[in-house]
Amino acid sequence: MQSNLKALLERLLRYKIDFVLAGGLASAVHGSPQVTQDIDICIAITEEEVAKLREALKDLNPRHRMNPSFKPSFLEYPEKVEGWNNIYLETDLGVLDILSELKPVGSFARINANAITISVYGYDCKVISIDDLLTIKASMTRPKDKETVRILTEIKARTEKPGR
Amino acid sequence: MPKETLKVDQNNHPEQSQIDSSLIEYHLRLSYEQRLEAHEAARQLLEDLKSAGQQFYAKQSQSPA
Repeated sequence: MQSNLKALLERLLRYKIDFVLAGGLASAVHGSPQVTQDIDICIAITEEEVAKLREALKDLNPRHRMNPSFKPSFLEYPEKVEGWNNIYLETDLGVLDILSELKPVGSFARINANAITISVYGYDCKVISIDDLLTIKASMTRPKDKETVRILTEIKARTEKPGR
Repeated sequence: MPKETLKVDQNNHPEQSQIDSSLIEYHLRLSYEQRLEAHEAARQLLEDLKSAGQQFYAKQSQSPA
């Protein structure tokens, strides 16, 4: 199967995974010209939501990618999600990072409360707010994150209405 | 323990490097043609999301202050 992030995002939307889009794709929604090679989503990592994710990804060979010598299938591992804050996967359609908390802003509930909703591929898709995205990116030190902060800060200044 | 190496947090810089490395490793396993096709699909996705974002902000700008 060919790596295809568009198909992977459509899959998540079609299976009604309750997620908020974050990372580079969220930056694009807010107008950043930067590119990205993966999908970052924020969800509540519960047994129920992980079961939905496994159903959505079951034919995409989802496996954990953080240890090159230990890549168990996400369909079988972990057996219980208690204690798991983030799950980093590779699938036949691309790389998917599943995050239950985005520091320093907070948990899925907090991110979800401020999220915006866009319409894409015929579905509603929640996206992290530009303010929350800026707070998260500002806390990171990679050059690409610094660049994102600079760009999003400028975009925010241009799009905000005077007096709001 | 290998199991524990799967449980890392974002925003922690050494672990972020690990996350970035595993992403690069994934793409390097693809053939040249596959990388080009993956890039094109990602580019299309970015365009679609930018367009959806523009529509969102256009509606927002038309809403009463």
